[in-house]
Amino acid sequence: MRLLTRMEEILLISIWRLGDNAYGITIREEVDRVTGEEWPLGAVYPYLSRLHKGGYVRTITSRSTPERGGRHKILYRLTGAGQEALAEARQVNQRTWDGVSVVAFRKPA
Amino acid sequence: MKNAAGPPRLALWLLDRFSGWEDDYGAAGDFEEYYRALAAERGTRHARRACWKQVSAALPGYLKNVIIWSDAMMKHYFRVAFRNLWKHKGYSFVNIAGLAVGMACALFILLWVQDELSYDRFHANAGTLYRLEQERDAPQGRFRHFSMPYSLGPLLKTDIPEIQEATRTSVPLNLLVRSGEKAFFENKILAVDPQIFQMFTFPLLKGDPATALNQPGSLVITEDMGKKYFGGADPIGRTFVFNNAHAFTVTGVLKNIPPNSTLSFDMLVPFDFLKTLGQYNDSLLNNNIPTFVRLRARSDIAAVGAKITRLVGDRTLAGIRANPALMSQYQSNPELRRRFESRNFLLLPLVDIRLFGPDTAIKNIYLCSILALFVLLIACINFMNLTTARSANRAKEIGLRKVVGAQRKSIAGQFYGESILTALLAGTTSLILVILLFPGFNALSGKSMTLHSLLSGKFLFGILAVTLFTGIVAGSYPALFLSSFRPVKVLQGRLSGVGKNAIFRKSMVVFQFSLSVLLLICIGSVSRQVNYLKEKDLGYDKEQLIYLPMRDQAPSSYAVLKEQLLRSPRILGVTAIRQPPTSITGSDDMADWDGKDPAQRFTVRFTSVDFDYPDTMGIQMVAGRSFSRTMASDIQRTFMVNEEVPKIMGLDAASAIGKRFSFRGYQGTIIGVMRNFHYQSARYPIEPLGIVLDPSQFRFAVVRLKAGAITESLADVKETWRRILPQYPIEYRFFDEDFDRMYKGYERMGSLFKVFAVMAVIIACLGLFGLASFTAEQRTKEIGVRKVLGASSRGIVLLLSGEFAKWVLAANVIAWPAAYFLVRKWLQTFAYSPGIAWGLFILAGAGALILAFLTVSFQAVRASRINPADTLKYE
Repeated sequence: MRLLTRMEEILLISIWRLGDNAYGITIREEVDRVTGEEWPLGAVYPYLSRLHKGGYVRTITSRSTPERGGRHKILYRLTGAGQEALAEARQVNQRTWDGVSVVAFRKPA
Repeated sequence: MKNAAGPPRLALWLLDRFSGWEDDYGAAGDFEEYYRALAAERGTRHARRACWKQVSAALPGYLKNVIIWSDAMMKHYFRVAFRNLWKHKGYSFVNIAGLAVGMACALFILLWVQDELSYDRFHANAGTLYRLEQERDAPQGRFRHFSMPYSLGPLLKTDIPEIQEATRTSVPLNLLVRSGEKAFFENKILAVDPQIFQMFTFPLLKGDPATALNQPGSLVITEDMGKKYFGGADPIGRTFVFNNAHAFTVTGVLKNIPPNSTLSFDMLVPFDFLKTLGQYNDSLLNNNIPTFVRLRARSDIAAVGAKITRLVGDRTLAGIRANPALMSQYQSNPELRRRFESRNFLLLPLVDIRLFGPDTAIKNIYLCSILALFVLLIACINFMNLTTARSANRAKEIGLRKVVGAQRKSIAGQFYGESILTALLAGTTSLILVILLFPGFNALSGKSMTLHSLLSGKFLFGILAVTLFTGIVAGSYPALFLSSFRPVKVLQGRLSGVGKNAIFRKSMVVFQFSLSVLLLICIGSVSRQVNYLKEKDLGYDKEQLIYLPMRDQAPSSYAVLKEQLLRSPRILGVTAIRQPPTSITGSDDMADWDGKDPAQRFTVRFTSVDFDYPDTMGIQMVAGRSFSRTMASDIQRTFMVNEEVPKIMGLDAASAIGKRFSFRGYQGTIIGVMRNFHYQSARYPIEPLGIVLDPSQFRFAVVRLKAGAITESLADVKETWRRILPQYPIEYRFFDEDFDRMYKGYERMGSLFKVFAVMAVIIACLGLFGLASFTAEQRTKEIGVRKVLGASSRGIVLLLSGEFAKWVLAANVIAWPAAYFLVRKWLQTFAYSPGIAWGLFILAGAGALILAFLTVSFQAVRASRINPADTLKYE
């Protein structure tokens, strides 16, 4: 199984965190919060598309609502593969950082 | 309501375009929700701004994407195109050269057409300027002309409200013009009304257009005339003397008249000068001079014409009633009444004179445009032919492209791109050709265009349009045909539709050779007709015959001149005539004779000559005698006629002698019938002609020189003239040269045809050459096998050429009937023609066949010489 990219990882965690309310707008807000910068509205969709095609997420089409101009909402959920990939990403992260002291990055005084 | 609250539709649409996803990830709904939330929270304006900010943020990425990908594809296409051109240098040369020649041809014609269409459009008021015309019943049908009564012009402005200005322009005056030491005959002098400057755009470089022609004796000349008479000095205030009698002072200098003006002149004098010359009368019944009017905007032309008809009709009738003598003549003469009552005035737009007037340039424009289109079409066909023929070589490339995902659209685009690229190369080449050949074109077409007009926006646009048109037309077939290949079949090595393709290619070759043969027959017929006209027996001996215009007071010295000239042994005869020998134009619809049926109407030509006319000209008498000095009554009282006159009288030549005859105010008897002779272009039939002897009408002296001693006898004429008429420079012209000059137009047409035909043949041969070499290449294996099995080189050459010969023969079968109808139609415009020459048809066909054979056999011989081992080794 291939490794997730950083952005894919952030998105998958956001979807997991948002639970039942994971869709375009909330996901982007979560990404903004995590990364600390403002992403364009459309930024998340290419990644969502890739995750969907890779089988990491599934989509649920909900009823249309008036505040969406009669358009339906696409909700995202993690699949089993998505969860496994996240678990592996976490392990990789831990192994990557294992034994690295934050002190090592301090500038010498 | 719902939409009003939502985000701008355009923004949504753009976002949709930019994203380019096929699946729905809810983006549109999310965007709408985001927008509404923002609008509810911070107002619609803020939301809109935010919305557009999002769109513009998406734009750069999108554009980058588009450019990167299409740029890569473009580069790829260009590289493939250039590789293809380079790999097949021979084909590419044929293709580009053929197209370039075809396009250069089309460009030249475009230039010519542009020049023709530009006639008279330089006037600021061109749209509201008209020339008056009138038509009436005549024995031959409706007769239309643009001569107007002298006195009509000034009436128009006062009596017809739609007419803003009117100016009369005399027919060109031919005067002896002297200023200081310099004296020339000038024949482009017009007497005009001063309004000419307000109506037409003929700008004055010096002088005031409002007053320049107001005083009698004022004169406006062109820049060139100023240079001719005064060199660099300022002409204003200088004086001229016309015909040694009338003094003029220069009050204005005109910018030179553009060559594309139908109204052309070197000098302008006030209109009343015509009265001084005695060329004016008040009668509204006579028609003498052109008149131009400027209408107010949005006037109804037909209504103005009707008003003029009524105005002239009323005034003329009033004039007739006031004059009892005229009244009785009017009542007794039905021809006169008919002429008066059928008179109808019309307005012809100035800008239409050139196109639809007597020169009818529009016909030539159509003809040449069609010709240009043909040549261009042939070049395009070559291109299509070659590209399609090469499709087999490129089928694998296309199959592969399709396999890796190319859509039909992009393959068609590639081929269009390639053909447009080739067309652009050809276009550039053709532009270079046009610039190089420009002087030759000017000489050929008799125009004085400058390269300057090449650089006008219109023309450059024309080049681009022709190039793109050629590219698209030429690329269409391969683009649409090649992109339809099914990849599996192509890669398997089976080519779909090649059979159909071959028929298409053959029909193309047939088509272009038909056109070439057609053009060859046309040039042959034109030059045959022109030669026929030039060598036709005119009915008199036109060699060693000269005529000398006698201007102004010169005719009064004619008798002395004649007597003195005849003293020279080298001068064989002298007579006088009223009109130049190539254009006897006077005519009368009211000729009358003994026993004429009043219901019948005939037009009889009229002219006036001196004693010795038939002898000097070499015209035979069919019956009766010539004018005789011993018969005093011959002057103004007797007629000589041509053979046509007894015919319309219903008599034979001998019995017409002695019959009473009257026309043009002359009354008397017929004393002689002359053999028919041509008195105008032999294009027109010989019509009934009556001749009187009237010394007051002599305008030209005719002198027959001695054959074999032209120079000496001409010197005698000059010496005598100088002695008797020292105040007039001598002018003389040869009859035969005058006659030849009348066919200049046809000769020019003939040489234009020649150029086109040569081009068409070259292009067709280039096309055939390319195709033949392709066929030879395609059949290398077949040829190899044939040779292995014992075929001779000769047999193979015949095999390859024979096929093309069949097509060219088929082309002849198409071209002949077409040429027959065209040539017959053209020859029908001539009264005399040698008829259709079948030999020409066979000659053109054989010529095309030989050319085709030479073209093909070059390739065929090469193909037949290849060692079969080379072509078969990889099987």
